[in-house]
Amino acid sequence: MLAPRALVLRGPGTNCDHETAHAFERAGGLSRRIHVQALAEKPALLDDVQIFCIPGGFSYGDDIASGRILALELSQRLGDALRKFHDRGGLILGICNGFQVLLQTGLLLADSATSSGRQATLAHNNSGRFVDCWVHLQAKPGRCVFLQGLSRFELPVAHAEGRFVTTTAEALEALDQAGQLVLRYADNAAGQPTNPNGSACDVAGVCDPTGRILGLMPHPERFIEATQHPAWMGRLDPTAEAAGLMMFRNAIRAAGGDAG
Amino acid sequence: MLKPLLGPAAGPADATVIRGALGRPRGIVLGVGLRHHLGPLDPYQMAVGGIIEAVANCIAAGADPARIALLDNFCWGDCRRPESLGTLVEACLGCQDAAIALAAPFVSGKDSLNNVFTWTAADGQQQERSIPPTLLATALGQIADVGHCISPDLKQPGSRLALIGLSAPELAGSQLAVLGRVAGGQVPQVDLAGCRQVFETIHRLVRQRLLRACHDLSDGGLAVAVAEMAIGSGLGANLDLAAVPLAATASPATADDIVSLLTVATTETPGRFLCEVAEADAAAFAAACGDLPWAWLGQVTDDGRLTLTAAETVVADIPVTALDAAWRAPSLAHAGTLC
Repeated sequence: MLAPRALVLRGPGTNCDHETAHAFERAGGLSRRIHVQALAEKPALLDDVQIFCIPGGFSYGDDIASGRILALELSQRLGDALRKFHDRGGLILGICNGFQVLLQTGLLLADSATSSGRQATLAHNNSGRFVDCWVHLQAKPGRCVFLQGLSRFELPVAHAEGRFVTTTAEALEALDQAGQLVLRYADNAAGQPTNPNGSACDVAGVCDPTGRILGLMPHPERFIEATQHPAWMGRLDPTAEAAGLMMFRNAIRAAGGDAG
Repeated sequence: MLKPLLGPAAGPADATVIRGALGRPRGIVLGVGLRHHLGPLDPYQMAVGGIIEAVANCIAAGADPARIALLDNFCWGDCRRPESLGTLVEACLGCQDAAIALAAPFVSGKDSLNNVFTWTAADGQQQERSIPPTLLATALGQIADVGHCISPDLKQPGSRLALIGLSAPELAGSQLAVLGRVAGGQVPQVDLAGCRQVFETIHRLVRQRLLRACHDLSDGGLAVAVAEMAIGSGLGANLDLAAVPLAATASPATADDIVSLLTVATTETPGRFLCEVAEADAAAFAAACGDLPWAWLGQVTDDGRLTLTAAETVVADIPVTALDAAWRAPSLAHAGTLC
């Protein structure tokens, strides 16, 4: 059987595509980086892959708002293709800027039935600053295929617009009830909260109702091996795999592959 | 693989290490050195000292001393002034001597000359002022396997702490002098052959996996180095200043002599490293150091305090949380709390 294939989107300002593609390969998959224009010209490329990933970066320079222009481009030119891809069982992962893009395309959280706008967005961090640090996370995977087997772990974050907010308290409650708030910032070992941006309910990542689309602010591709942790020396086995790789292995496994 | 802030409590790193290619073991080690307070005092020693500091930062992280490349960045005043041109020549001679002694090529560099401000004074006279001569040195090293990197944060209570290299009374241009606590004194004189021997020894210790942590001594000398190692870990340490190996020109630290204590604790003689060594590795460490000047100074502790003694007498006892707060205060004041 062929290894599952992942398509990692790149565009102007994407800067995590190499590391993300590498993570899929380390997890036992085959990956290919594809420019958004090339994919828009040939949406049928999605027919040959099982996983579609929008990696981190500053797409289109974060002009207007983070992820706005890439989201518009995807919606306009690839919206139908991506919906078809998802409907036939494809997995979609949006990391950091990719999470921002996914939310704005409406792929991740469908537009609310009772209002014309989106249910949720990623607003400027409470601090008003770009944050670049490690956070502690608590996963509650439910149906989310990417987070299976994960509970408490650490990942790095690096963003200025990562505060998850919903239009109404009811919308947040509904997502919680539906089990879609699958990843949250947790306390560190000293019991201090590590929510870096002021997200509602400490939300770090959300999935769609099928569990096959995940958007998250932390960067799993930046913690696939122990040596990427700032305190690994003398504490972790440098050859050990790290929590981020589990997410990529989960994706490969869910796509029918042998993730080792 | 080594980031600017390291350890569970995010303390300062010596150098940063990046993986050369995804999935490959080789690491690229980047260290910098800047001894700008020495510029107006002795531009030759500023250049040599800056290069030694840049290289020492790489060596402490695990870089191979046989594969170091150098870059220079000259920031100078109006070079039409004889004194600016003269200090530039002195600094260039320092670069030459250091590069030859370490067999480390200069692969590139940058200059920013004629940093001079002119203005018209109240009396109508044209005034001008040049910046002090400043050389920023960068060293680019390699480590065969990033899994062998060493970080400065302390790892394990009960480990021993050893200082490698001689300390001389050289406080001119030191942090103690910058703080206005001392004036005058001797500019640190680099012993290039001695430094090279120390670098090779540190690398031997890295290859034999005998170091749990390693930190080069630079700004603020021994006291600041051990404080930085404690800050990154949150652990404590005790250190006997009377046990520091001294150059012939130095006086031993004694509890009743504040000058001797401050001198030994904060002198900035280049080419010294503070090492954390597992108790079980003590004999192998001693053997690997050979006839190099070195000494055991103390232990890593779990009490979260930095305790400096002179023989049996405690001369400083500070909670690491207070050191951490003092070290972080300038950046937090500048940036506001981030995470």
